[in-house]
Order: sequence, then structure tokens, then C-alpha cells
Amino acid sequence: MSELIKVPTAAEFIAQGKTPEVLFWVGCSGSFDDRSKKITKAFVKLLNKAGVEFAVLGAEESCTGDPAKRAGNEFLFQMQAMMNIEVLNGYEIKKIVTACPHCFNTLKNEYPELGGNYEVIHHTSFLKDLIANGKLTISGGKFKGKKSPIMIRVI
Amino acid sequence: MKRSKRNGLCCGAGGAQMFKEPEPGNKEINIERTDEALDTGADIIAAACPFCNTMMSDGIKAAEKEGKIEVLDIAEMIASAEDL
Repeated sequence: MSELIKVPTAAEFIAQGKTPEVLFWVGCSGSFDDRSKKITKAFVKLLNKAGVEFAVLGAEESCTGDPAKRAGNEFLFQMQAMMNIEVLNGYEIKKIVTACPHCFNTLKNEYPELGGNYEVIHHTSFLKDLIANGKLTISGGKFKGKKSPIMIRVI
Repeated sequence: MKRSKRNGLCCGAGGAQMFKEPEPGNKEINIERTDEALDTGADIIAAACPFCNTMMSDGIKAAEKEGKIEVLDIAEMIASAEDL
């Protein structure tokens, strides 16, 4: 892998006395699954291209606790969630974007009652705003905008 | 697709079908959902979730349409449009 992609961590931002505009929550799939890693890279390239000041938690990001909660292990969920909330609040994170709807649901709907209040955005909404603001375009490339018939499955 | 938006059919990973034995029945849910997508005649199935992506890709493999139909994330499609 020769390409170098700029991915700053929240810790690097704090070290420079800054806070990131938005935190990119990568999630387990985007971090470890080979197919999903390509999606993470594509999204990061788009963020860099659009000039978004984003950060990731890196090794400090843990599972949101969603699988544990769905499987009925509320105790494990709360332990995992509280660990993440401590980290997120420590970095004074206000806005989170994620490419995974499972992380999205947990962060947005289940973290507030444990003390984690953030503006959570799914990456499709975030990209839509960037396109609407003219920071990204969808005219070039292989798909030429709306030329191909496309089926979109949202969440 | 007939089953969409509020009536959308799950790809299966929301029911943990990626991690466990399938629920009882005569057809796996991701095959059912992929068949619906293939019926539209689209060349690309766009997903907005890494788990949908895996389930639909597995469905494409089961239908022996690998290489003909692509399953892509919306971020990848926009990145391609931006030549990134």
C-alpha cells in the first residue's frame, strides 16, 4: 500500500490546542473488515477533498456496545458505552459522523441517557450537505452522475 | 423496488444473520433481498451500510453474478465521481 491518506486523531488535535469540527466514528466494520476498509478510505478521501477538519479516535475508539445490547447484555453495553462517552466528552466532541447505521443508531438514540449528547450524522446525509454546498461534485468518474440505474438501500 | 423505505426488507445483518445460523425457513433473507435488487436490472447496488454491503455481496455471489453486478457504498461512488 503506497498511498498516504491524512487521518488525524482527536489526540493530535488536542495536542495542538484545537478541537475537530467533526469526529469520524469509524466503527468495527470500517476498521477491521477488508471490504469496509475501502469504504472508510473513500470517505476519508472525500472529507480531505472537501476540506473538512475531522478527526478519528484511533485506538481510543471502542465498540459502541450495539451488538451486546441487541443480544440482551445491557450490562456490557453500558460498560462499553460509558467508556466511549468518557473519551468523547474528554475531547469535547459535539458532532459525530459515521458510515455505519448501527453505530449511528446507538450513538444518537442510546448514548444520551448515559450522558453522551452529540449531534450524530450518517455519512450519506453529511455527503449530501457537502454536495449541496458545492464542496463535492458527482459529475465525473465512472458513473457520470445519474447515468446508471442505481438502486439505493438506505439503512 | 417494491419493498422500500418504510416497507424496506432487511438484508439480514440487522438480525445478526451474518454471525449466526439462518432463521428457520426455505430461503435465506439476503438471497431474497438480493433477488429483489437484481429484478430492477441495475448494474450497481448502492449500500449505505457495511453490513448491507456484505449481505448483498454474498447474495450476488450466490446468484453467480459476481463481476457483472457491483455492490458499492455511496461514499465510494462519490469518491469515484471525484476521481479520488
